[in-house]
Amino acid sequence: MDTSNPAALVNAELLKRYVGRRVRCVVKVVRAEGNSAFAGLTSDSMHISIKQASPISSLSQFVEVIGVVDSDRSLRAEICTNFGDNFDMASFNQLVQMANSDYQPLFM
Amino acid sequence: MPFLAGKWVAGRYSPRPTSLGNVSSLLPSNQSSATHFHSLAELMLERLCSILPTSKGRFPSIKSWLPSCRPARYARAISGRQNRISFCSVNSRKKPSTCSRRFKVTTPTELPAMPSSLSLSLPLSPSLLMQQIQSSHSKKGNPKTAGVLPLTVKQASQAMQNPFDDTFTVYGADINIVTLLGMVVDKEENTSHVSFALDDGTGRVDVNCWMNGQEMHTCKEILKVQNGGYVCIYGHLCVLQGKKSIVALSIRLIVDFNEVTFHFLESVYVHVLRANSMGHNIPSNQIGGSITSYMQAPSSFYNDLVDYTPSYPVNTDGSPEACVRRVQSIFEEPHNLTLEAGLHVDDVIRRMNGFGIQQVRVAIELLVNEGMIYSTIDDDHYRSTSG
Repeated sequence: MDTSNPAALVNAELLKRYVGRRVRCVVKVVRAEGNSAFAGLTSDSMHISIKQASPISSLSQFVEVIGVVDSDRSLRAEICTNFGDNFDMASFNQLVQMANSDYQPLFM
Repeated sequence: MPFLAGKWVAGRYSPRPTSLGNVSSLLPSNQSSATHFHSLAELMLERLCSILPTSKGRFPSIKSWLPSCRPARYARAISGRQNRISFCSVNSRKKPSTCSRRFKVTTPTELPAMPSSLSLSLPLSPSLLMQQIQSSHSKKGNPKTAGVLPLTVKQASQAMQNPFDDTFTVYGADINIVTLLGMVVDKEENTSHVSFALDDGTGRVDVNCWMNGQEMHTCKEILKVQNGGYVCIYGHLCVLQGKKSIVALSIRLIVDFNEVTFHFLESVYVHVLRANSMGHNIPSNQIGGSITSYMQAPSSFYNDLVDYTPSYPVNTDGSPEACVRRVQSIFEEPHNLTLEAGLHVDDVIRRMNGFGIQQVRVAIELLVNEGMIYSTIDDDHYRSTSG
């Protein structure tokens, strides 16, 4: 069992707290930015940029990106997982808020 | 959504249907499974808000789940149809002294090797189900170990192993079956078993699935999963080669990713529920917390947990030696050395934030045996031998 390298659940406003660290974020794909990057809408309705991602054609509408935070508006992806086209961002956003405040010991 | 709220009174669980949900909705419906976890997650959030009085108004965007909505039906496929019925109490906030216990019973059509208390193979009639649960509880006589506990890997890593047997303790209660959800990595397949690591973002845990016997049916979905796929695992926590790992009883591929949100919300929910039942509020950044008073509520299901210490050491010095050292230093404080009758045990306990009552008592006993302190006017007063 290894809990030494957790990936925090984040939305856009929490990105700045984890700059340089590994995070997980579910975004809605908005548009491609070149070949290997895209713009995504996070669960708190902010746009962020995902770099080194899979090509947008292979992605579903909602994608979970696990990667390292570059800046407070961009993420360098390591793993992109298709989360389908029906994903409740509102509930996910509240989970993210809980996971980073009161219940952080359960996650990190 | 079928809910049967019940109450634990005097050690017996008495179920009753509530107005929240139509019990007959346990029967098959035509509703597609796509909306299930969406509404489940929303419901979980609502439940969390209702049992967290301080969070009122903090999550204003939660859509209210109206009982008049057509209830979603849990429809899970293991290797067929499986229905999971969740029993929640709506009273947990209003009457904290009345214990409420939330536990889930899975009723797969093809059973994994589950303990007898959970081996229910029957048509989905709620009354039959409740009878089964009650009879299995009275048979086993130890309702603490029934049920399925949703955990994050971080929580599972903090489970303390009971010294005398192979079981683990979380929130002061024995855990039996746990459920975890995460991404499959490092998958390896043999003829006899499949092993992989489950990464849910809070950590990684090794999972073993022995592909003979009943697990072959309930775990066969793992054969279809590639690295990077999301699965939900039901299994036992155990220790293999010195490391905590999971022996999987049932594995299911995730298709609706709202389930991911739901699982984590559920883990938080169960954590809060158990914390509330234990009679104290978990401080915001501590899972173990400090027990400053014995639990109230004689009708509490967790009444006999009063002897359990928090499962998680609050700080890194949660070891018994640190406890003994701190207790000793309390007794050796200059002011306390002057007291004729010494210190009362409760005073010491109160000062030992982050350590449980049992730990402090054990530490006191140790100090007595070593001759560092001695009892004075009665068994509850001790004084240091130095000075």
